[in-house]
Amino acid sequence: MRPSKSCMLFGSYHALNGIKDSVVLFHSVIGCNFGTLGPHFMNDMASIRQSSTVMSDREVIYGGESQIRKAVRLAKQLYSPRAVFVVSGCVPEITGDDIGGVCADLSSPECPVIYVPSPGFLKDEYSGYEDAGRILADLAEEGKECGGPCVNILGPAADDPRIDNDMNALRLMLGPQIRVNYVSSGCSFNDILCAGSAGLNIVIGRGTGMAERLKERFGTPYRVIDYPYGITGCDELCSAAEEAFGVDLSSVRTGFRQKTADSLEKAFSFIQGFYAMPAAVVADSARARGMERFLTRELGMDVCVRACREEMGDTEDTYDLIRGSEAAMIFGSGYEKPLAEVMEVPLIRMCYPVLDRVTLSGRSYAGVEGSVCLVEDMINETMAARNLKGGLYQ
Amino acid sequence: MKKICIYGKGGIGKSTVVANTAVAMSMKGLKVAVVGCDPKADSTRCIMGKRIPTVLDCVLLGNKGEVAFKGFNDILCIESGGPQPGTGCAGRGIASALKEIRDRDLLSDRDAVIYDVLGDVVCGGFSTPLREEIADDVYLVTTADFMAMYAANNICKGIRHYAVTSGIRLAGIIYNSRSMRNDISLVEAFAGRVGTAVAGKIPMSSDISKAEIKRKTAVELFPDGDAASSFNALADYMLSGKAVRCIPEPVSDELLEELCLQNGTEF
Repeated sequence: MRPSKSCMLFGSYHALNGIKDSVVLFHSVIGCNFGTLGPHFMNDMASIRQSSTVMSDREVIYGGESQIRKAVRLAKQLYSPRAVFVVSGCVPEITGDDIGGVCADLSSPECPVIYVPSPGFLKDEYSGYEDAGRILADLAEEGKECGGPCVNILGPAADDPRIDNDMNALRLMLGPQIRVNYVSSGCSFNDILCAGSAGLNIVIGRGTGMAERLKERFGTPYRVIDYPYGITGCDELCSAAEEAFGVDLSSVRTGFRQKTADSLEKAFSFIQGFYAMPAAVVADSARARGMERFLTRELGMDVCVRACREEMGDTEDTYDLIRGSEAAMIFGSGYEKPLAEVMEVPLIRMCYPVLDRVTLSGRSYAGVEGSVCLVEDMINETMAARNLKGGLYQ
Repeated sequence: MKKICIYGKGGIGKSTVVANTAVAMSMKGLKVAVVGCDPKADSTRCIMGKRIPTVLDCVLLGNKGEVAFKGFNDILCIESGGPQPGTGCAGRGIASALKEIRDRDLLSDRDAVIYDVLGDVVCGGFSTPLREEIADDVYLVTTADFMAMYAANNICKGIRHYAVTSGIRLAGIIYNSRSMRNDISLVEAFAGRVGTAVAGKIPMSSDISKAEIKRKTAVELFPDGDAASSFNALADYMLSGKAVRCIPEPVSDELLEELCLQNGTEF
């Protein structure tokens, strides 16, 4: 049995880790910190803003409340954070530490200490993300103004591959007419306080918990979209913004199409080789659907297996499906590397976690440059593959 | 080594039974140990004449030092210890302390060890003495009150859970007559239903309370009294090898209520 998703604590972490001036403090055993830190370290080792109370037998038996106080004090000294999010793991939620009470006692207007219950035995990572989002939405303050049309982007997480580049691409797409305020993968605590002032919440897959709560509190509408890969992804995002704000982004769309065509033209023959090529996509639902849409509608590929992690049971069952298919390329995470190696097909790493690549350049997979980078990687990985490069010369 | 475990409803007199029975056994020439498995850590108070440092305090809080102390008649006294009320996980504490005791091999030279376990089998931690071959015989202390019987029946469920896969057995019911009604018939009926017998009867004696206020056992302070006599008899029963050991068959709530009504418990 290989579970396809992680626990609630991972979801909370992904919802919170993008708040760049805050600290995530795990009140749990050491593994919770270690497990989340690994993929984050590969993504941005210059910005480690997480710590742990490192519960041991002593804290289990005698209670870990004093350890929270100590850890929060140290976190404040070490990071000077704008806020501390105390994310609880399984053990203190079983033993019954009064985490909320301690957090309330340690909280101040200058540095709120916010309790985020996240026992892994209770819910999975997707539910954890939504629950944490609701807590964030409750922090948004009334009366904040962001000046002009403004959107929040919910769903992406700080440790998603190339996420900063992708979000910059979305900003370019929407701006200068529409300002992007809060982005879940990279923001400040103040952006959350201002989250209620946006005119639209764009939910990329997950984030409906926060969006619903913002709608309840501020009346902000929200729109759930798939990950905006390619021209169709751009169209969906622009349409959502046009409907919400009554603006015209047709020039953005036209420019996107033209620039994409100009760039890809140089490899048109190789791109023709992708036509009808079978592929498998394993990712969170927003990315899986967005990628399937891009591959089928824009490249004419055949997505023979599309697996959304939220809906998957045993990962091995999905892998069996892929192994039994004609897939000549896999789109997924670093987890799919052994599968791709066994099948001797290229792996395009497009979702969390990626543990064997770093992204230091501005390469994205969203936006104009993103489409070009994505196709570039597909061609190069295919040419690098042992058996399948001939497919490009049909 | 005779390994005995005492369970029962909170406040029913377990620690009194444990301390006095341990003293009685020691006076028969046995090398005895008492292990308190309660965060209150007061099981050995009347044997030591004082409170002693606990295993968990020494191991987990860094208070270096001994965890096993010899009290009256060389009885080895150990307290597991645990968290303050309302904090932490006392069950895990018991499990952790018992592991430490075993790792240090503190009990291997004893002829008899008596474990005094907190109130009820509320979680896996308090069941630790029932597994891992820590105890062989379990005795339940009860009065003739309905709620005490209810707790005893509940504990039988816990014992049964482990007994079916190990050698641990319910070995008897200890009747403490210190209650509104002093009538052993209900306890005898209950013992028969679950498959065992009444192992001893503790009288309502002022010897016990007089001794406890002086941090002594009744067996030590009033060796010729009726309480001492009952504890001596209980010790003999436990050591005799004639205890009615069983995998208990807990009764239903309805049957327990019926037993109480049939045997004259006044409500």
